[in-house]
This record gives sequence, structure tokens and C-alpha cells, in this order.
Amino acid sequence: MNDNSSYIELIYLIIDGEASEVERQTLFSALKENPDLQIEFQNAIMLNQASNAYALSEDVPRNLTNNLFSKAGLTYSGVSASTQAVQNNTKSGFWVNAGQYATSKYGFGVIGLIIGGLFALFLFDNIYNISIPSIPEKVEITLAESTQSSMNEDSNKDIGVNNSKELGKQHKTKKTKLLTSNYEAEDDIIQSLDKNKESTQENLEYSNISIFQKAESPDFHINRNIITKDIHAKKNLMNYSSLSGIKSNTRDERFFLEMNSSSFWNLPKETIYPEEIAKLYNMNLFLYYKLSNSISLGLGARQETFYVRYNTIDEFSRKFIYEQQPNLTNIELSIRYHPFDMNILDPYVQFNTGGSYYGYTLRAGIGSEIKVYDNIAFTLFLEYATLRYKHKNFWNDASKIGINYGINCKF
Amino acid sequence: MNNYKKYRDNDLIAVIATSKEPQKSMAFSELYDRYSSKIYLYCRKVFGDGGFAEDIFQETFIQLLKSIENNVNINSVKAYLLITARNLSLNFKRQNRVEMVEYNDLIHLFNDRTYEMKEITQLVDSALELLSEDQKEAFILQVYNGLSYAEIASITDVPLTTVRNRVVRAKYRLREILTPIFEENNKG
Repeated sequence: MNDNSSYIELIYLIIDGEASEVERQTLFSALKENPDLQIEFQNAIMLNQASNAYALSEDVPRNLTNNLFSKAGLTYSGVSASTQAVQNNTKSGFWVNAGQYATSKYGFGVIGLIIGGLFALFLFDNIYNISIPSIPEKVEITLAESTQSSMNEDSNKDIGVNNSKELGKQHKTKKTKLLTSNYEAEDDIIQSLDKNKESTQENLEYSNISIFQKAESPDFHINRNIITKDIHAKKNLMNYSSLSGIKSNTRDERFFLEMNSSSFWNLPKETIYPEEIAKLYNMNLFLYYKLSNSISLGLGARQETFYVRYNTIDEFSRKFIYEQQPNLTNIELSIRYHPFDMNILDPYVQFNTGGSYYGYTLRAGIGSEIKVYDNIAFTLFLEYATLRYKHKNFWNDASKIGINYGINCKF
Repeated sequence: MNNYKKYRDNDLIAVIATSKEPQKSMAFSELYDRYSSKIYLYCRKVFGDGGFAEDIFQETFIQLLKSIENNVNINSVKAYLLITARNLSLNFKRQNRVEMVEYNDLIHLFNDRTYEMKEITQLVDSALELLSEDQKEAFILQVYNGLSYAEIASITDVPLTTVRNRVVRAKYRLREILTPIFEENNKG
């Protein structure tokens, strides 16, 4: 060794965590004034990193494990058992692989898309949108046989239409058809519109009515009982949609942009904090597309932190429990379902899945849009979020709950 | 079905010694999962890619099983396995006279190239062949098996200061061999 040999020895002792406090201080004072020693220190760390990285990549081959247990007269039932099954049984191998893929970062996204797509398909399959240009003061509507039972002619509030959901379920096999023509459904649902010129303008905003019904299904029997009700424009139609489950199609806009800020509580509570916070910390921006009146699909980005805690080995080969709050920028896919519309409030349940370089995120929760104008709404959303990330071949999880609050603009 | 993952090593040893199948296999599998990768790594570093490493690895675990079945007192499974693997290695080397690799045989690997970290780790592995057996062993136990100097001293049955010298000299020697690569990387 050279003139620095005693110091070089100290470098390796410190990296190995075997130096005393005095030796540590001696080396660090020497390092300040000695550039050669600094280079030596750098190289020693690099050597250590290289050694550790290679040390983590060795796995015992499967056949070696099998041979060993066979020789010992035992049956292996540990971690590699599943991979052994892949060799011996094609069917179970497929499911093992499928399971592994399903829980991977990409598999999770694919499953989310499939579930979302099926959900959307289901909803489309049960919806007919019928546009009516104007609503007069008097509307005569003929509906399904169940209509009669739900009617209450004494009250304007009870323009019971039908048990539309049940009817929809009876005809799942038929494809969705969007009827935009004014009277295409005339054969099935008779709508006699007593046009009143004076009230036309007043009623324009209520001109679109969505009816959950299989109008063209051959199994659909219509009593052709004509129900005549006086509709006092606004009040009646509002009741009409909200009480019967029929959605007034006031949400014509197919896209909406939503920006939220949020407050989070880590589970468990964090004991360390980020040294630096991202500029758009706890903000998210999503663009949603309305697949139907009930379901929207969104894509967006979010900046946030999670409190992560995991076991690891540092560059000096010492074992540590690391605690961090990394700043993450996630790209997420979101599915939002509105079960019903309460006029001002529009509650929803939401499921997000996405990921970043570090792992993938999953979040779910309930919230509501609070309409403040035709196309503008405030949003409030309570969620549970989890981050799944991999560190040196081990999967770890971090969770938190949060409240999102923001604004949503339809266009 | 018992979840043996929650068991301590001593509890698993008790299950292996006293239980019948399938509990015995499951408990031994758990013990195997805990230590197999480290022991395999040790054998691979000592013997390289050849079949010798696998033979020593298998024999080490077979001996562990026999010792448990014969109620041999095992305080630390990890230490027991490393000592067994080491003794088997020494016996093997005595019988087969493994030759040291010459510096010039390998030094061409380290010249005239730029290197990624993965390649460097593989070169460290090759450079290990240029160390003396004592230094190489001390390095492997310390770096790859994560043992402290005191644990290495206990396993190899030499004084702590000797272990300290062996590890430091091994690392310094490796650093010397790898200096051209580190310098190349620092420039990059």
C-alpha cells in the first residue's frame, strides 16, 4: 500500500461498519485535505456497490432445489413450489403465470381497463337515449305495464314511469341503439306532444330525456295506457327524472377537465418528511370522457408522496430500515360511476389505477360533484390510496387516506 | 396448514426433528428458503460456475438435515451452514488441488473498454480469482454473506485482527485491479 495506506485501511473499515468513532473522525479529517484519499474513498464505495449489486442477483436454480430435496427424501414446499408447478402441470402453470401477471404493474392496468370496458358495455346495453325537441305543458306518455302501479295521479311528483332497471335487465342481449330522431321510438313509446308555442322556450332546457328501456325489444309489452299529466315544466320534469330513475340529460358535454388538490394522512403516521416538496404537490389533473350518463373514464397525472418503509442494505453493507417520503408523479387511469343524480349533488364512486417509475398506485373512494353552474362543479372526494413498489426484489406497500377537493369543468 | 414463515429457526429445527411428513418437509423448506440463496452465493463465489459449487451446496443442506435429525445442537443455522460449506470446500480443495489463476490470464478483461455497473460487478467476480484463498474467503463472507468481522473470525476460527487484515487487503487488491475501470467510469 502507499503513503495513505493507514487511511485506506480506515476507508474499508468505515465502509464495512467496523471502524471505531476515533478511527472515523481521523479519516474524515484526513479526507478534507487529501484529494487522493477522496478518490480512493470514491473507488472503495464503487467497489462496494458493485459487489453488493452482484450479491443480490444470485438465485438457486430450480432443478438444484428439486435434486436436493429428492436426495434428502423430502418434498419442497417453499417459495419455488409455484415455479416447479409450472414445469409439471401446464394448466396450473398457466394460472400461476396469470396470477403473477395480474398482480404486476402492467397486468393491473389491463385488468382495470377490461373491467371498466365491461362495465361501460353493460351500461350502454341498457340505455336508450331519446331526444325530444321540446316539452309542452301536457305530455302523454305510454309506458310499460309497471307504470301503472307506480303512478300517483294525485301528485305531480309521482309521474312514475316504470321500473326501468328491471326492464333493462330482461333484455341484456340486445345491442344498444341511440335514437336521436324525435319520434323513432314512436311505435313503442307513444309520446303525444301537445305543442304549446308559448311554453316551448321555457321547456327547451328539459328537452332531452333518457329512458332506461328496451323500446324495440319484441318482448317488451306496452299497455298503451295513455297517461296524461299536466307538466308544469321545470318542477315536474325534475321530479320526473329524479324519482323514476330516469336521467335528465343535462350533462350533454362528453368531456370534462378536473383539477384537485388534496390532504392526506399516511398509514401509519409518518416520522420523516421530504427534504423538498414537488411544486405541484398533492395536485392532480384529469381529463374525463363520459361513456354514458353514469360512467366516465379519465386519464390524468398526479403529484404526491407516500410514506414508505422498507428493509435494505446501504452502500456500506449495513442493514437498515429505510423510511422515505418520495415525491412521485403518477399517471393514472380513472373510472367514475354516478349511481344517481341529486340535482345539485352528483355523487360518485371512483376507482383509479396507475403508476410511476417507482411502482403502481391503486385508489378508491366516494365523492360528489357539487354543481355551481351549468358546466362547472366543485368536487369533494374521500379516498384510500395505496402504493405498491419493489425494492431489491421485494414488494412493499404504503397506504394513506385523503380528501380531494377541486373544480370540474365540462366542455 | 401451519404458516412456518412466522417460526424462528429453533422452532423449525424442533419441527424437523420431531414431526412427520408433510410438516417435516414444509419446515425444512422454510429453513431452506431463508438461507439457500446466501449459501448458494457463497459456493458459487468460492467455486465459480462449475458443478462443484452445486455439489457443495447440496451436501451442506443434507448435512444440516442429518444434524437436525441426530439432535445436534445448532445455535445459529446460518453460521452452521457457512461453516459446513466452508469445511466441505476446504476438503474438496485439498483433494483436488485447485490452482490459482494468474494475473495475466484475467487482466485483459479489464482493459480498453468502458463499463456499465453490471459489467463491473461481473469483473469483481472475476477479479476475486486473483486473490489468495484466505482473502477471497474473507471478502465473500463479509460482502456476499453480510457477516461482521467478528462473525467471520468465529466461522474461520482466526483472530479478529487477521480477518480485518484479510478483508482490507482483499478490497485494496480488488480496487487496484479495477482502478482502470473506475477511472474510465469517473471520466464518463
